[in-house]
Amino acid sequence: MMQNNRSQDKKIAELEELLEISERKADILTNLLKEASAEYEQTLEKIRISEANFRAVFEYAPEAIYIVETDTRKFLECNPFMLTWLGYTRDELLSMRVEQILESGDGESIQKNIEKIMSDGFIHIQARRFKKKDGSTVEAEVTGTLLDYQGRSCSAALVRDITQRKKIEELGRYKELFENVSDPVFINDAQGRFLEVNDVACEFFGYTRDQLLKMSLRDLTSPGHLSELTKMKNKKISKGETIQFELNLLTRDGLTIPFEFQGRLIIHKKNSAFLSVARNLSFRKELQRTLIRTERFSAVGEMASGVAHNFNNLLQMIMAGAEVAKSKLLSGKIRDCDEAIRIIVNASHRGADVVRRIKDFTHAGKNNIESGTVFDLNALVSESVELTRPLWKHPSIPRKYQLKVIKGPNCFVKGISSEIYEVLVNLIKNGLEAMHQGGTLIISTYTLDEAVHLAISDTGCGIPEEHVQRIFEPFFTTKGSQSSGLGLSSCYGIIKKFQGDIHVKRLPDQGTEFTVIFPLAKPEETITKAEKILETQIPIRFLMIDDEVNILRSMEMYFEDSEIDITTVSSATEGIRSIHENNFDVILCDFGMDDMNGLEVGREIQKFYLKNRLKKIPFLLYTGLDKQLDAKKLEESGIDRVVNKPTSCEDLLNIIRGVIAGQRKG
Amino acid sequence: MFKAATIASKEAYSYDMGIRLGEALIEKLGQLPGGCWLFCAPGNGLKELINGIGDAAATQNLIGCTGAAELSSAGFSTRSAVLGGIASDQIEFEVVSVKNIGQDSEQAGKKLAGLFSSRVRNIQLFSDGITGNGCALLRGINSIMEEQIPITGGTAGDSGGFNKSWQFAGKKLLSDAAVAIGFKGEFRVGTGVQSGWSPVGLPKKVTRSSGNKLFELNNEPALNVFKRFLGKHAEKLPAVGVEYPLGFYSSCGSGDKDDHFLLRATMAVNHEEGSIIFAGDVPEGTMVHLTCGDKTSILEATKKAIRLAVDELEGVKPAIAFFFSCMARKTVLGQRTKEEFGQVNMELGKNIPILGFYSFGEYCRVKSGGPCYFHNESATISVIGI
Repeated sequence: MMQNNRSQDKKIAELEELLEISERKADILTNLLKEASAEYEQTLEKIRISEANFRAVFEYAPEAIYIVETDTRKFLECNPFMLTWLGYTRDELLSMRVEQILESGDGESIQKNIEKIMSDGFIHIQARRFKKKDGSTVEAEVTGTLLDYQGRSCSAALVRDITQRKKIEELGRYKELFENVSDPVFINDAQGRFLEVNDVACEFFGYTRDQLLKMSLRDLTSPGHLSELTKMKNKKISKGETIQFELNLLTRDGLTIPFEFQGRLIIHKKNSAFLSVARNLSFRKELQRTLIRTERFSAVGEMASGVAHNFNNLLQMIMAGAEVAKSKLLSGKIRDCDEAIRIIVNASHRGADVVRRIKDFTHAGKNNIESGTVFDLNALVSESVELTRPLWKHPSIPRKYQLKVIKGPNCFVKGISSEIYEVLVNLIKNGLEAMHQGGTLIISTYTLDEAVHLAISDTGCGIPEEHVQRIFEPFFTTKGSQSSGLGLSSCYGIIKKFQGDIHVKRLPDQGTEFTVIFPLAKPEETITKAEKILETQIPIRFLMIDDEVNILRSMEMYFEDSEIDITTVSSATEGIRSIHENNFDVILCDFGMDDMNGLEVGREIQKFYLKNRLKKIPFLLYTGLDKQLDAKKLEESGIDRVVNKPTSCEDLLNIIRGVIAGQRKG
Repeated sequence: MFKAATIASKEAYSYDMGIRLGEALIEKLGQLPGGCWLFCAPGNGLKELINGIGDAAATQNLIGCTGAAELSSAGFSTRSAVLGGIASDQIEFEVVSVKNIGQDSEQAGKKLAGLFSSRVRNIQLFSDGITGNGCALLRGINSIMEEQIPITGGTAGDSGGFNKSWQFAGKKLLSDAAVAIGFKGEFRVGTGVQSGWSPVGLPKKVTRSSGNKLFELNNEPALNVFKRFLGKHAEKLPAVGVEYPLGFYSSCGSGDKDDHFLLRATMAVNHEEGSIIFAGDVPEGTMVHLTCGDKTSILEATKKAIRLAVDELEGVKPAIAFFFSCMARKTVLGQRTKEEFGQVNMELGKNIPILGFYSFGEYCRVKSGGPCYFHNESATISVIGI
């Protein structure tokens, strides 16, 4: 009985224990379940909120959102904005692939992008152009990310239309351009009226902004360039193309400034307009002019050794002639002596010519005469051939070049001879330079159809086809750093200035031919040499002031056989004293003397005449200097005429006679 | 040749008892043993007992420790001493020990591993379960030993007193020590470990912990979280925590989906800190679950563990089975604890000698050739096959 009880007790105890354990378990599991349940609810709620948020964003976003499957690139979903933005219906878009809405060319990169997202997890912001249903394109920024959608691997993209922003940016860029550029900036409409100008433009041209905005580009254009402007207006400019052109503009003060315009078409306030930046070319043009001048001088420099050689020859002739004359005189052979003296005179004339040619050449361009005078082109051809002789007839290479000149009749041209001289010299030089191994240069002039043609051909290396178009461009050269490339372009400029034209032709066998064409001009009075004035019986009292004793001596010797009663003094002081003490009919005074120069002497004499109420005597200034003397200064110093050294005694005699004759008449 | 036998006794510990045990073993074996195992409850006269056994068996290769219960071929027993021995010309043994594991268990593990010769192919490890950190000890050992060498064993306890546990190596009676026996020679080893507890509820992240001390789960004090689960039963912590241990997936190196689920039993709580101390490390960042098990699932697990061990032998005949189970399982199984032994018997056959004890924590690998892990509340078995 007790054992039964004990075992029953044991069983009860066991059962109680089991019950306790079970209860405990039940409680704990219930608690766990509650917690799990609560968390589940929370998560569900979070998902619901997140879903709702997503939906809200998706539906109402002011930007396009779409989801494409990464494998097929098909649209799986898109938001309403996307549809309105591109103009498709939902059904249409969901049947398309993403590359169908991107501008062509972007197709390959889509695949790359998708691959990139799949490795990185997100796309960085990219600019893309989207195609709308109506065919137009819009610029947009796209950013995206990878996600699982409907059990598929997809990429979701957010698209922002940046057309507006770009416009604003562009405007912002223009604003920057307008405000910060140091050149005038303009926006013009199709008629050339100013829609917008920057401060620099206003300051430069001397108008207020309001004033400029009432004007057009035509109002600023220099009269001479109006045709250029018309040409530019009519030119067709394509979208995105930048064009360049030169135009001379007038400031309010009447100053003409050359400008180089660079511009392109833009959209300004929804209309097509032209934006341009104008660069002042004054400096550049001045630079070009200086370069040309420098070239000219260096051209002279090239000829210097030839010129020196020339002079040496001439000196030789003079020295030899003088010795011969002397010996023939001593031996009484007057005719031979005369012959020798002729040689000396000839040589001296030739020397004078060389100097004059060089002076003319280097001073070309200083002349302010716009239109020029009528001159004989043939004479200019001869001069240029002579000037360039050292280049084609250098003693070291006597037979290298052959030069042929063929002159046609009546080749009269209107222009500034010194400038056209430069053209000729340049063309001759170019021709010679093209014939490294030697060859023949042919210069010919002829008239045809009321025009004068000048053709210069060489048998040289020729100009390659691709360069023919460019040879007249400033700075274009095939001669490397030695040449500024301005020679032919300045020729072109000069020729054009005188309504001429220049063509270049490649000769069939070898070489090049340049043809310059000028309008034919009517010959006017041509430059004449000093007329020979007949001797008169009335003696002329002539004072010569020069510190070069030899010149005085030869003058004395020459004039003693004529009606000129010559007095010579070798200093300015002596000259002035002589004038005070004697009467003269005409005075010739050297410019450069040790004690005073000719101008100062002139002034002194003027004072003397005024003081003593004496009639002014013709006062001639004798000078070998290059400098062009100021007309005003000459007048102030009482200079009636400038006689350039060297002048032959004969010419001087004629000049004196002419002056006296003129006086006696008046 | 291979012989193994076990002797169990409930006598009071003394030198003579030791002699008697030793002689009884020799008789069963028919010869002197190559290695001896002693598992017993703590008690007076332990030193004498060991001396007696050591003298009788004439061997230095004596290994063992105190635990919560003992297992021998005779069955499950408590407050007893079981002695087992192996005599074989195929297997040799080495016994090593290291002291002061409480100070730096990892360093101790390294030192212990370094004591073994290179011919050792199988290790059994018994360490102080109260002072030592089993995870750290393993880390130290694993850093020296080759991963393929199986390590099985358990941590020594004192029947739930949490005062002092003992470890035996040769004739040395140690505490705060780790002792190990190494097997050298021709044999196969099959291991298995299962718990029978399954995860319940939502996982939580260990947001703050230090070794085996858990401070926070999901940034909330761990104790608060547990109190929420346990409700009114939270008063019974840490004991109730043994029934509902914490669990997390270890990464067995291969990172596959059948990661082993490691358990951690609650040992103590700190109400001020809101922290809980476990019988094994709970690493920061781990996702942990509360787990739930019952007697049925626990016993099923035992069966599964044995089967895994036998399968690993791949047909080689089992010669002896070492079974290291957990005190927690004893607590949960209660009267049915002896059924665990029944499972082993049934699966292996009555002829196979069984030796083991109920520990504070178990050492076992979770897959063949893999590293050893520290378990709680698990049944581990290592079967030697010849």
